[in-house]
Amino acid sequence: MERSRVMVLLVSILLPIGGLEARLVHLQLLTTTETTYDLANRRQSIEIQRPARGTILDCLGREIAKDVPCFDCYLVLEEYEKNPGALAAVLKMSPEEFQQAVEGIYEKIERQLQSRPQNERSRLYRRERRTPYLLKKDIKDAALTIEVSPQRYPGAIVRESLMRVYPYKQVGCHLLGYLGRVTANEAKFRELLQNSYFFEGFEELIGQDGVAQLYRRGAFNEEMIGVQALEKKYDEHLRGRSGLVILEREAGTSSSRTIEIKPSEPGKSLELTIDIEVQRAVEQILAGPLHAAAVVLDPNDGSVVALASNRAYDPNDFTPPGSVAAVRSALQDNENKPLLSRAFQDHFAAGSFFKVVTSVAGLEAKVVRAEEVLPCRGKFDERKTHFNCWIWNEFRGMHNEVTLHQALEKSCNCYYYEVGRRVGIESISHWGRAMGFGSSTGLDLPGEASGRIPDNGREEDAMMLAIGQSHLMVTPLQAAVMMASIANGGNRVTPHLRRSNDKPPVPLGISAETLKEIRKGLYDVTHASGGTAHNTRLKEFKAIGKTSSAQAEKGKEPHAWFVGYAPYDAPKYVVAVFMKNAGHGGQMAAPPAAQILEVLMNPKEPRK
Amino acid sequence: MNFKVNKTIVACVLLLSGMGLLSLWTQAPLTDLAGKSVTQSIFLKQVTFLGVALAVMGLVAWPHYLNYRHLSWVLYVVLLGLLALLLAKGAVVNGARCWFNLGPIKFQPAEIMKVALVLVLATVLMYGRDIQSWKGLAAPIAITALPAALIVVQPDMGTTILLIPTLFAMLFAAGARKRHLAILLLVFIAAAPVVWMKGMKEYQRDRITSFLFKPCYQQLQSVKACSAGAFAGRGVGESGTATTFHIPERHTDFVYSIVAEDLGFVGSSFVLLLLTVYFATSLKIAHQSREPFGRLLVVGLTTLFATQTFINLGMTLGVAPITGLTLPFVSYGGSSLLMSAMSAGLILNVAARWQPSFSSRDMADGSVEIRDFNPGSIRY
Repeated sequence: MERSRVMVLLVSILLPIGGLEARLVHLQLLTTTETTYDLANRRQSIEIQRPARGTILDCLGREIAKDVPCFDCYLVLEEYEKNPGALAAVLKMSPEEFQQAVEGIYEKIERQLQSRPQNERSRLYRRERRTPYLLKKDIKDAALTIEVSPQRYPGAIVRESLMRVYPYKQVGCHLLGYLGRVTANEAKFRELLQNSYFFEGFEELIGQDGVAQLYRRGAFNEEMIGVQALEKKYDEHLRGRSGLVILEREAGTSSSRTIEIKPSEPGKSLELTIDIEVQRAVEQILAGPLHAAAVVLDPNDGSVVALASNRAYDPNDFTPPGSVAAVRSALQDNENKPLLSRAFQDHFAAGSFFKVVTSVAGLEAKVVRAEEVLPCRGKFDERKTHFNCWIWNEFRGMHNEVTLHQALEKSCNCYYYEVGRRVGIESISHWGRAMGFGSSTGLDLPGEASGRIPDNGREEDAMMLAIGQSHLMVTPLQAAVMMASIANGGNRVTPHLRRSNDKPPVPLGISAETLKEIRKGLYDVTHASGGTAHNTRLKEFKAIGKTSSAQAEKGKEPHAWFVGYAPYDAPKYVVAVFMKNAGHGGQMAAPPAAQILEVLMNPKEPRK
Repeated sequence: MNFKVNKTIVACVLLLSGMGLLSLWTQAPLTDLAGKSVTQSIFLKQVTFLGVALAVMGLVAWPHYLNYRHLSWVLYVVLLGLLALLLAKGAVVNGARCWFNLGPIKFQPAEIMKVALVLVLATVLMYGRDIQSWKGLAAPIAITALPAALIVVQPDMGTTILLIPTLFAMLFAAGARKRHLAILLLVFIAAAPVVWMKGMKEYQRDRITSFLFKPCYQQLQSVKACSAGAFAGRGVGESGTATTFHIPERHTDFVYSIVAEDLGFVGSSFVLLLLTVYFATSLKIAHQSREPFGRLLVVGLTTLFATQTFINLGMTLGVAPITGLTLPFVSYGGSSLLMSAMSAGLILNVAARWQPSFSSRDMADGSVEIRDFNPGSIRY
């Protein structure tokens, strides 16, 4: 009985086989004409659908970099060449420009053919000539002209796409950066392709083969990546993930149908600690013939409110399609180097504000007491010609007897020569590094300069370092980070632009007593009648700080610095202002610092 | 030794894997990102797999199949353990834990479990103890439910679905009551919504709905390609030119679409015919075997691979959901080929031990005479 049951099973297996055969008959014999007709008349191509890049927002939610819709013109070579129309004119391209763009498409096709076997090339060539290729981005009004009478512009296809726009133009350009074609850097492009950077999840749908085909068609050559600053640093966060669509077109018409097979995921937005209006105001304050930079930092958590350098470029010109002429002139401007932010990408001689670090070193090492009186005779030592107080160099004067407070207030060099001699170069260097000098501060932007600080040397080097000269080189951002640790009670902050990125401040182990004495000295700088910056509006904003007039190249004015914070009783902002070869810090850097504080303290819009 | 090779089975296996190699060789050239062709390396890999698989087929066919009864329990228990371990430690591919990564080899316990389960079920059912009562049905159901539960949470719906008809066919062949089987089927259908609502967590339901209703781009492409083959096909090597882009996983799960496109109705019907002959011959072997273990074994293996074939072809032709099941012998892939060959080996084994059948009537009229009975000739 059981054996006969096997025969029942045989029948139950034959039934579905019959069903499958019926399906084969249906598909291959009955409906096949329909399908081949379909294939002959439809032009299908697989296209990448790029998502909108994430918006960059300042601390009040203002959009400072965003994607806006635009219209692009694509060209189908076969249809265009059968009957070339007046496309160049309507796109406002010169005949040469247009010719160049068309040749660019031919080059792309050529590149694909080269990687294929000889016998496939003619078929592939025919196919690619029927495939739309990007001719011009952001064609503006021409889109309407083409759409209204497509028969006059055969082969031209208008597609909606997105364009990166920086509404504040130059403002904050060194922070935002710009986008560029990924193909500009071949090695980087290879590396990103290896990591499936542009086609995450594609392989599951169209296979490695499909991805390779897209690659050969140059589909990834149009990918944009951030090449500078935040756009580069947070590229992965901002870019989103591409989707895939099938574009089906009827030959000879401009009607097309898209089938989405993988939806794109838009990029995430990036919230910054920057206040773009403050940034704009600071840049305006710095405007002038001298190179200058300024940093505004929250000393409590290290969030950067403004980070300005007064030679700028417009990222809109740098982001394709952009303006070739503007890019060229910016790159060739060796005098101003507008791509370089002097706030964190270049370093300069520091000068007197470094005496704050020397004070910390001296007081912490207990080699000097705050109330201890040291003499200043203008010249530190008759035998050493270079160790003079500034007051001797300028007025052949002297400070006579000074305490720590007075030394900071009047920026007495002799006092600090003595402190430097007592404490030694290693100790000063140790505190200098701890407070942010000599290495990058950890700002979340690429290309930060690390500056220089000598770690050892002779006694003379220690004395020179004590007043911030010698081989010490610092960025304005490092100066601000140093001052932040005085303002916030001795914690080292990591400056950052992304809002959620704050690393907690690290205690440096500076005693409260030391901080109190130094703050008192800094108070006198702006408030006491002998202070180097007393003659400014800084005291109106309860600002305290330290000036610098750092000797730079011979025969030029010294660099002017002011590094301070306000209000002194509840610090909210650290401000560092740097003016290259400007003169005295108290005269040249302190007034702009006061202007910046005015913007910060009396905002037009309430700040968070 | 009395070992008769069933030539039909061997011919089917060779022709089917030959069709597999042909479609692998002729499909639109695969390239990697650098534009270098990978067709050749894939082809060579498959040739190697085939060599190994055929050797395994021979090896499996060699010892008397009754010796596998004890081994089957060991295999079953070890694989259960591995399946459990997989849930904790396996490599996640496309959101499912199906594989162990053993260096260059991906090891998929569920694949082997399919065959091991058939072996164990045949062992349990061979004497037909209590098969007519509910009591006797409990053990085989439990034995199937255990691995099925472990595989379904991976989630590998495809393999799980295969186990159910296999169990029913084996119970049926072992002589279970039709009434019982019908009730079981009804209970199973009735239980499905209850398990759906009560037994599963939200994310598990999501997995299953996405499995059933995920975008069928591949399938649309595959159907178009099959249809483009028409009667005589577009010619060997022409696949992939009708559709401007390729069908994902074409050489593995969708291999039949290559055959259908290149060789048309003629070629695809030929492959279907080969598969039909293979399954029918297998069932004939089962029918002729007087020994219940062998018979159940062949019934189980045939049902298993036939079901897999139906689901795969149904998927390729657009009448069944995408499950990721391969086409036995034809699809690219080492483990698929190996398990298909192993089952073919077992079927050959049973066929080789075919005993001449006779009934009491034959003995009565003297056409059969038992002269010499040597139990030692069969190594149980």
